[in-house]
Amino acid sequence: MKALRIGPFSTRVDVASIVVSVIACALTLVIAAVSLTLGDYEIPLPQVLNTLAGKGSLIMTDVVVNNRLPRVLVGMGVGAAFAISGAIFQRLARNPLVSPDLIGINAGAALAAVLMITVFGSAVSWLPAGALIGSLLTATSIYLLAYKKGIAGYRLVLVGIGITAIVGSITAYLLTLADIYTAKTASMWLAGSLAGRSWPHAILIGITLLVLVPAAVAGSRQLRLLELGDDLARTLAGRVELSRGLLIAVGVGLAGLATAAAGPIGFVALVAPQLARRLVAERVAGLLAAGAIGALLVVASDLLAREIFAPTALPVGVVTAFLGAPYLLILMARANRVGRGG
Amino acid sequence: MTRSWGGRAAGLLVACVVLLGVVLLSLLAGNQWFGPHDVYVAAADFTGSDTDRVIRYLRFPRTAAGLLAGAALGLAGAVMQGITRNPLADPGILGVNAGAALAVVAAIGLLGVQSLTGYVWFAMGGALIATVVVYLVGSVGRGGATPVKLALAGAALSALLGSVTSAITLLDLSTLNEFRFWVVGSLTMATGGIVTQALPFIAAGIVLALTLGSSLNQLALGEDLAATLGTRIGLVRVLAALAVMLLAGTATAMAGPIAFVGLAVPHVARALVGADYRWILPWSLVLAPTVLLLADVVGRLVARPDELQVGIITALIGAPLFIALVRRRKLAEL
Amino acid sequence: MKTLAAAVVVLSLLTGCGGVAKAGPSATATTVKNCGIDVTVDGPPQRVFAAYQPAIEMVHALGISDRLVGTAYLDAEVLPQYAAAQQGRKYYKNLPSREELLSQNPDFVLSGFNDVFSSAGSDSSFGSRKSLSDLGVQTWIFSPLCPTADGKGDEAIDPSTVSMNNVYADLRDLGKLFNVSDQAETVIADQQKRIAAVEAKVAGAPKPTVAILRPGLEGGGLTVSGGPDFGTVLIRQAGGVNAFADLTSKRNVKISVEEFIKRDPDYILISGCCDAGLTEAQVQPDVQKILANPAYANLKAVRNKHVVPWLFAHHSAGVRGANSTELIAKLIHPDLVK
Repeated sequence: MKALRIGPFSTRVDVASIVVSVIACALTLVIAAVSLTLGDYEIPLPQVLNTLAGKGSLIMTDVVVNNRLPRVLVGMGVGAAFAISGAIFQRLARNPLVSPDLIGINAGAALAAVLMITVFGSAVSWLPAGALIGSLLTATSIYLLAYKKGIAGYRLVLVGIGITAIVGSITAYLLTLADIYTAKTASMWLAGSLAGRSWPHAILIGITLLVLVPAAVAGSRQLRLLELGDDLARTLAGRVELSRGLLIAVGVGLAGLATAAAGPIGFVALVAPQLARRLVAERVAGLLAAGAIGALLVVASDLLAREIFAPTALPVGVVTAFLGAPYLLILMARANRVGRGG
Repeated sequence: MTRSWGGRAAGLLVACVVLLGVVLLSLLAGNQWFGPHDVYVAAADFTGSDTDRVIRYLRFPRTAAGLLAGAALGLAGAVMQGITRNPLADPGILGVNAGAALAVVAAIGLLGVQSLTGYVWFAMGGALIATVVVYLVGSVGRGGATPVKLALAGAALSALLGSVTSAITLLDLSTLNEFRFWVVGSLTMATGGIVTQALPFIAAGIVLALTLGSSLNQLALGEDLAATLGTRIGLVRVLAALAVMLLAGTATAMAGPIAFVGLAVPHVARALVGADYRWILPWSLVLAPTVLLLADVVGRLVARPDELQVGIITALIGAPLFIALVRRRKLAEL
Repeated sequence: MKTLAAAVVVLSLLTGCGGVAKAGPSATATTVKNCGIDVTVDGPPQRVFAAYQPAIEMVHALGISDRLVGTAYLDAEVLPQYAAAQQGRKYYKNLPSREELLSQNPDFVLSGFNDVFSSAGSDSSFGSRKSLSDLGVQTWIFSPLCPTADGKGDEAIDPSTVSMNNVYADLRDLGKLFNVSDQAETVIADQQKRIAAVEAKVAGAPKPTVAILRPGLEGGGLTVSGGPDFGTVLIRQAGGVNAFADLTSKRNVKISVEEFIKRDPDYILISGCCDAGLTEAQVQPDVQKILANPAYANLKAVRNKHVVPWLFAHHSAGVRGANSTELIAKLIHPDLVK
């Protein structure tokens, strides 16, 4: 940590965090560029740039500008959103395993969206509203069910796992109602998929980040205080419940809207902050570093998901789960051995 | 409610009678209603008519499957809740469902197994392996297989296996089509042959689980106190895991992953007879098949000419019931 | 046939060379309505993509196979008369993604079913018809499967559109667009003649009930062809009645096993699907499963061995209409139709 003084303003700046963020962003851009060229319709990079400048054929423009570009942008955006959301939750609960995807918030958003697809036959453009409502309802239920003079320990996680089971059953039922093609679409979406993302999704996640990330950053000071424990935080910061509530709202909003944009992509919220922490080698890495790594994770996973079984495309969530779950198991094993588990 | 030994025993007897009544109902009710005489003819005086065949080859197997699967799931749920001291525990948390699902999907999608008799045994093998892995991962480190570590290990493994399952089903539409119905759980998939083959496993699991009653009571006091009382915690955990594997694994193999029976029924039992596992276990054993068979009957009646699969009904009833129960009894012991 | 095809090719080349206008309808523009959407071409399309068996076979029937840039998702072997035309065509086992479709630079996409243009928005959809026409790619859905709005799928089919007349209308309209009207009329005349011949032979005979059953148990239930399925039309033309015609919610309806036993159809057709090399012989094991199941042993169809291997391709709306009608008639009225 270094102090930075510009005129009358001074603030603390975490150099390592910034370096990690910048490198992650650079890598993300490289992978994004590669993603724009790859696909069933291979377009070399110079032509991609041409098309972006407006000089490509009608079809090429459609593929690059209406299909791949928003897909990549949405990938970056939801990756950042999930990661920051995960970082907030993990730090609030002082537990690396409290992550919106494990405790069911994403599942609730997904249920709402699948409900809309299968029962109401909604167009994809209405999904964000429904998914957001779903995530808020689920988060509220979990909070209410787990609250007992505060949220401590693993109660939140356990209630979350239980709620995920409930939500999962209802979702499975909805999938039997639809015809096979709708069921396949819903299933792909449920796994967390960037397929068929278009500009409305990109704009949605863009606005989400624009509004909620500054809020998260502004709240990060409160976050540091809350991590000291409730009693100390109350002495130093005053209204603990309020700031905690606001931060949770920001976290839920980020996760819910990201789920609305791309389905419940698992493990990004869990893994990205942890990776950031390991790279920065400080007890607490900045939210922005986590966000940058989250973006990188999703964009890289999507490329892998698209190409590994080409021409069949897997949903990105399958790859993130496949890579993230073992990481979680390792995390658990390491925590358990050191004695912080239980 | 019934708290005296006599009261609880009498209540259990009543529950058994109710179960018998529901069994009969399950044989009579459906797309067509039959009478008790028809059942007798189908069993003892088979003439080969449509009615006889429907009762003997459709209703008998599904009722038997409901009995066995219900008993297995109810008991497995009670054991899991006792061993993890987590009222939200469900056999699925130990990875049973995820392992069975992946094995079934692999059998259908990769190996082209088409018939149920084919993939039933894959399901069981998958359930066993997943449970073992979850148990091992959860046991690593200090404290052994504590409730929370098990739940988290189960969630992580479920996510991992789930992603592979997703991949396989999304790569092949016909696999997805078979899988999405299997994963909701149904009693119609088990033929008489499958039920007969499942019987010894479930019987063994029932016997094993019923012996754990007092050990679970001791564990409920907390691990330190239980150790002082002489409970061999490690042994109890292993036996419990074995019981859950046998019971839930076989039930899932027979009927798919049926939700909420293992989760909600032990709570009902607890509400009726108190927190003594020596009673909760046998009551769960009797109540759960009653619930499951009733749900199956409802499913047969409300959606004619189609049927609603039993797993859908148990989820639709079980979820709100579970939430109501949880709210009434504060979440203890977490 | 070959000279006709050659003449058609020459004619279309001539007209094709005429109009290359990019914006606004020119003098050579032809417009036809399909499922409520205007389809406008500036001269016969040259690069056709055919999705699903009915579309592929219709392209071959119209004699424009040489304009195919891609075919996708056959349910069974193509009819013998089209085998040569299909040989060597670019074939996708599963539907390609929108990107892959566009990379073939098509100007016309013909689809036998409506889900490819549904708003599902995932990789398996080509996108809405409007989004394709914006790129200069015209699209066509077989009329018996018209959804009530662009972007909708099977749930929006209007049952009154399920008829051979709509197949003839499609043939005529496509003949107009592709400038192969003569060939289209030939195909229509052939279909009408053969179907009329069958209908004449079976007129007045008692109508047996026929069920079209998909193999496999979905969660323990059965899937049968309901009212809106094209099989209903074919069975009626062949002098029978679809045992499940009253179930009109979808083309493929899920029912319980007990319901199936209760209805006891006279004939059961096991509808196998979804591979380019599929033949009836490969569906035989599914027939055996029904015959061997003790729950079904008392059914009329099982006792009389009237459980028959069949193909999904047979009962899809398209140029198989006459062929399938004849096949069904030979099955259910063997004494009247040889």
